[in-house]
Amino acid sequence: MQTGAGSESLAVRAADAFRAFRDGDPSGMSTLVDDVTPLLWSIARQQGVSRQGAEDVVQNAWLKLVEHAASIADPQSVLKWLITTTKRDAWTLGARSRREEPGASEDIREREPENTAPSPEAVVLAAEAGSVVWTHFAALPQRCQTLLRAIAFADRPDYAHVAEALGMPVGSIGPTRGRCLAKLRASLTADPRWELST
Amino acid sequence: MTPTPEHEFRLAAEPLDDLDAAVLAELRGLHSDADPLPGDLLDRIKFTMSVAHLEAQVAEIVSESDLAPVRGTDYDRADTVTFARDGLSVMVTIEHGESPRADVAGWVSESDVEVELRERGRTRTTSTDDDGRFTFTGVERGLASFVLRRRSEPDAPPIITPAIEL
Repeated sequence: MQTGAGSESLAVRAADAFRAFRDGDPSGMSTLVDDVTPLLWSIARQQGVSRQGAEDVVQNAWLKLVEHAASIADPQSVLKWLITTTKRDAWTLGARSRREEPGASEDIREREPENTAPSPEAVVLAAEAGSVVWTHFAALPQRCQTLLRAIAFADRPDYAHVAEALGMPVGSIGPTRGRCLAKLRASLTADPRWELST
Repeated sequence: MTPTPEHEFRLAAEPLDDLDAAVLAELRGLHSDADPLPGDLLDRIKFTMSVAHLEAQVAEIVSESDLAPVRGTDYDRADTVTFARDGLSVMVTIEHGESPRADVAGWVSESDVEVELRERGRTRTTSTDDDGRFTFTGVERGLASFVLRRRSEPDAPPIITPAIEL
């Protein structure tokens, strides 16, 4: 469990660090960057952009936060703001590169849906490591992969917040399991290899 | 057995449990291994944010000695580094003792300059003496950058050095 006493949720920590930053104390932002960037990286990569593209998108999201600091009315919404900015910019970048290389990524994806999120190398790596979880994760619908990969880099009290920022319906996850995690759980439970490994 | 929609629906309505936490932890580990954050991304984000926040001008490294590049070319471990920007130059010498901390002795080409040391998660500030000298003792090892402000021009943008590894 990631919610021990004294450890606030990401959203609360983001709000505190941002409020202090706006009041002239930038010291908390360093920790916030450490804590939230892996989540933003996941979201950018799940939009199908390259590693280089994801670097630019994530770095720009933080930069925009500094530049637009004065216009963010509610510090409680900072985590959501970072997530939606990252997702939108990654989506735009992905759409642009798909347009510039017609037929390159989109058509291939349509034909080989298993190539959408985990790269072929990653699947090989995971298979070598004997990861049953990876195999079943890769078989989930794209939006579920996006949600669960993001959730995996957030704290439990943030799940509903993250899902909402990603544009998933209320109840997608937290406090209940939600459809995506239920799908993964059901297919894992039905896999005898999973029973053995738990 | 093939999971049925009813089964999934029931599972979806249950509260999250420890097994879910374990599955998510494994997903996190798998993604961290298969698609890790670029090694210097966090440092570059922090530096870019500092520059933007301060509306600072970034100094260039004009010379360094005893350098041993660490993780790419964005910053280097060096014993003496000289930075310059807008007619201001600053030379920084890092003394690595036995302890995990380092002492920094610096010299700025002008006097009356405020020097701020930005370490991971904290900052401290000093001023140059009449000869342009300044020191910071007991600095934690790791990435650090310096922000310089001319006291005679309080409204001018500060100058920030690229991060160096102490």
